[in-house]
Amino acid sequence: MHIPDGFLDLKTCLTTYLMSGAALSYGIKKLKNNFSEKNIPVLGILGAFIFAAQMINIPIGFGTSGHLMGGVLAMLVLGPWSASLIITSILVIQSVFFMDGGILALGANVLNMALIQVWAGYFIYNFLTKLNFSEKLSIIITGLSATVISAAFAAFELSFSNIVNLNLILGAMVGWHTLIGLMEGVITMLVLSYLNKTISTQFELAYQKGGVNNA
Amino acid sequence: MLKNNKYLYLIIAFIAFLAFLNPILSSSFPDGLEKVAETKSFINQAQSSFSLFEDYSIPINNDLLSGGAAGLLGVIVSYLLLLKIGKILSKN
Repeated sequence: MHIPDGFLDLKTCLTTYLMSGAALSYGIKKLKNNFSEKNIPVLGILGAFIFAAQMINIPIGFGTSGHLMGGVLAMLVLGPWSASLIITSILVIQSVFFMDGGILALGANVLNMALIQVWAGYFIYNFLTKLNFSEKLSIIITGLSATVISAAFAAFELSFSNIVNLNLILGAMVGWHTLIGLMEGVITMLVLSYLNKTISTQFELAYQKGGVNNA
Repeated sequence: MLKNNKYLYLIIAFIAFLAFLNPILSSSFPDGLEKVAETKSFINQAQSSFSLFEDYSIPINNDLLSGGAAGLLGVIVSYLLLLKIGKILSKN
């Protein structure tokens, strides 16, 4: 769901750069007091995995494909602000190295995938935990709904740029990303099941503390 | 980090597998946003932006190697950048 340059107008690019920049600088301040050294290798390996997974488009039917965004996965492993930094780093590299997502549109892509998907996932997962849903089902629902919300934001930005009317794209973006989000949820659940079995007892996955805390 | 280093090697091998074979493994169908841009006729508004390499290919005279090398490069740069960020964050 990487927006290329040319789709967004200048005001949307600037606004989203400012919003993403402000959110990330707040997040970095918050992490500076909370980030534990033992998380460093996990941050690196998880980032490498999500970068690789994002390159693999999986067919979802009707001649369309989608790939893992990974924000919900990273949030459930390391917490939301670490997840935002992982996805932001990946988006910067994709854009600067490989023209996957525009440079002017980078603020919007960070907003949609590194902030909205991660934080929507954070609130939804914690809400589902309170309702005592099964863990696996909660993860799938979280991946699905966070991806749909992220896609809706992309639709808002496109219509705010006057490239296309919101009525024309909101339904289509939400529809395709319901299928892509289902895939996101299932892959996230499978990766977490694997990590659950293999990660050392010294490392606690962020989602296994009766919900994820906000660091 | 993991219970057994064997799991870590397995994960690294899996990441390298995905990254190197991305030209074969990845579907060439448009993604959700591209599909919407096609059906609502604004796909041709897309513009090229500055980037070091174009669309996951490093100039090598072989499609598989070119895409595979780009994938591995991206994975390695992501890993190193995030290790650096982690070190800065934990330095207090």
